Amino acid sequence: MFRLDGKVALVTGAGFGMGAGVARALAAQGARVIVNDLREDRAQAVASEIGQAGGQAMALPFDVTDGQAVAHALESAAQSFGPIDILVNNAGNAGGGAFVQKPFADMAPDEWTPFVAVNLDGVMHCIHAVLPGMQARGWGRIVTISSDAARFGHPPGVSVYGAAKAGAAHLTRYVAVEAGACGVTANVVSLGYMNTIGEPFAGEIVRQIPRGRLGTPEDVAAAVLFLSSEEAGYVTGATLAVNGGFPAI
Amino acid sequence: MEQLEGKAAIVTGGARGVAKGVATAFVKAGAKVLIVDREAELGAATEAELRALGGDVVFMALDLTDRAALPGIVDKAVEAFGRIDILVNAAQASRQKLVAETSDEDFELSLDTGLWPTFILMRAAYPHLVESKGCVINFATGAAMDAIPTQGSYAAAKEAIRAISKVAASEWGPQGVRVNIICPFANSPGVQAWKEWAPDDYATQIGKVSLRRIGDCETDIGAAAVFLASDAAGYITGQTLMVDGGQTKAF
Repeated sequence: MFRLDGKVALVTGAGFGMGAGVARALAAQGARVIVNDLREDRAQAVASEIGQAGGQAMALPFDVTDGQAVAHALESAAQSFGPIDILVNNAGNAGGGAFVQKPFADMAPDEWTPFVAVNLDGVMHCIHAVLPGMQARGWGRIVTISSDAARFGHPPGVSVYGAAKAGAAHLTRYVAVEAGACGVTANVVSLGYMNTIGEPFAGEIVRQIPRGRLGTPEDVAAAVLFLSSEEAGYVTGATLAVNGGFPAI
Repeated sequence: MEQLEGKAAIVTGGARGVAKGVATAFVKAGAKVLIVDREAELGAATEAELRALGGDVVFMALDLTDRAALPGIVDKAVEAFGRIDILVNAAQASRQKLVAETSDEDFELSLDTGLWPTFILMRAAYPHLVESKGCVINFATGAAMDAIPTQGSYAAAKEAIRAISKVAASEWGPQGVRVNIICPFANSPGVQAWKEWAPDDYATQIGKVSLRRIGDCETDIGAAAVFLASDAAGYITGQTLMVDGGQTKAF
């Protein structure tokens, strides 16, 4: 079940961490994977690793915040690798910059702009580039990686990140409404606390997570894999949280 | 390896409809399944059908409104399979009536066939699920979120099921037991009957589904249940997964 043979998948921000885990998992299920990252060396490393493991992948570095660059890159990739069947919007955080946590009142516009650019504009650019093709071919899967910071008020100092993620998540749900009749599904995976957070912070957090541990790239990949599959063809506009049960709504 | 190889499941209401779809998907994914239904003849037929697929399937005829008999379902599964990895509470009866016209008996029907068996079976299966690091999948409905007229007693039972599922997920997570909820829209016998006596209403409703089709009990709803029951979903608990083609738009 849940095989992706013959499908072409694009995973943005896949040069490390969650995105790399998702790219590996999609390739292991038979998809040909386009590994995007802002940095060419990181994208290339993950694509090579997938190739060495017997999968098919190509590196495609571009900046999701640059709409023209996205359109141009995906046009050339479509010619060499085939049109995109599965889009995983993973690129996020503060884009290429450092993730600085600050109360909104203390933020200057040039500090919040990068969060909106990568987490919301980036998702819009990527969906906009692949959606017409998916609709024309009558099959498509869009999975947007969001965050529980977009649904809850727990983490301090991530207001703009949460707002941008909430925007991307809700855009994805509207795409589900608009593109469903053409055979395209669009869903949201909402992440809780992942094992990428700092250790001192982690111990305190883990005690609040029912499953008693932080999330891993493999946990995220499993959910993305399911939502990308033929078998999940009746799931659209849904939000699936991968958060170990904290919190449930 | 199949997704559910070596796992044993209980599926209530498994003789037909969505529950049968889940039982069928489970069998094809390698699980052993105890199906429980009050309809003896239909249940036996489903048992035979699933055994023909090569499944290790046992049918137990039981009326789920008989609360005292419910722990016997757990005993039966342990006796048959030696373990319980997955409990699926899918059985639910209800009468579609306006709230002002709903009798005590109508309301009790929803609770007695849905909420009470779900609670009692979760409690009875819990020690076995701790042992197997197993999971529960309960069924709820988008009709509650969309506040559909005439669905009062049904929606009330289903939202109560969703509530206890989430609390159980919090309480049982440390023991490795997961609890999730599926809200389906599928071609169950109930929906098929509705399609026959109100074809125009049915067509209107399908037009509101983003994917413009009705879900399939086995290949759509069953597949989602296989995913949630699999080890790959080990970090997913307390969640409600809508498998409704985008019918419910209350996000």
